[in-house]
Amino acid sequence: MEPTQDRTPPLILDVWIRAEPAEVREGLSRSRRALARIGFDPERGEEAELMLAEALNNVVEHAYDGREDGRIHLQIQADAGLALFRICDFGCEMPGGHAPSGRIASAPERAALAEGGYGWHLIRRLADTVCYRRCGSSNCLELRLRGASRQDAED
Amino acid sequence: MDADGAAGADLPGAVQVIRVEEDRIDSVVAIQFKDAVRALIDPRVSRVILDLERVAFIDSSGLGAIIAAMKGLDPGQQLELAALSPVVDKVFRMTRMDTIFTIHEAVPSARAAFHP
Repeated sequence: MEPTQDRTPPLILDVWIRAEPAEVREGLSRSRRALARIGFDPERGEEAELMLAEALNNVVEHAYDGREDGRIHLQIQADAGLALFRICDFGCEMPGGHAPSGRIASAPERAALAEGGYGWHLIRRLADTVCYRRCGSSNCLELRLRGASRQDAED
Repeated sequence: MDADGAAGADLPGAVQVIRVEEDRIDSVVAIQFKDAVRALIDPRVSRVILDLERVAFIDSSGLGAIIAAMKGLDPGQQLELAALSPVVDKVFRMTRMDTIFTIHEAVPSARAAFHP
């Protein structure tokens, strides 16, 4: 394995986002532009945006439970090979003090299909590593995503 | 959002195409999106094709909105999807929704697909 765990790429974005959907959308747009500027692989950049969207939506909907006065601190450290997303908030702790496993039930019949609960499943599928810590009254979630896939890098 | 004409909607196997104009189906628009799709669906058709060509991004709330729209259909109706961008397609595959929805490469081939 590459020694990605210990590398800390340069800080490319450091913003505070109000915990509501339109601000999350704006934060995602800034993240997308910041990653594009440093030459992060476009396809991996789309995956990063999806992963980050799910993480930020969870803070809005669960940690702050729809309270719109909440604030989210988003920091991105990235180079072309690695992106590290740090998302901190002052909302409720994750249930049981752990980031959810994101397991989804195998698809039942149409009428019984869940309309939610897919966010953590996507985060777990997309992120290379997930680290959640509760520090005093804040939550800190760190998500790592490699840049271009190994196969792409060898081409 | 825009739905095509309902001529022949009473015929067996009638198809309705709903073209989504949003470029993002996310938590900002998910509820309105679900309501708009539900309002546009013609109760007489048997297949509804959601044309997602213009959609560059969907998150799990957008996915939930599409699932909710499907669950609101009459028992004899199908909701199918067409023209997914790679990242939108990825969301459906990663959540195994590709086993629930019929996904077509493009609207013309979706229209032509035969469903008994």
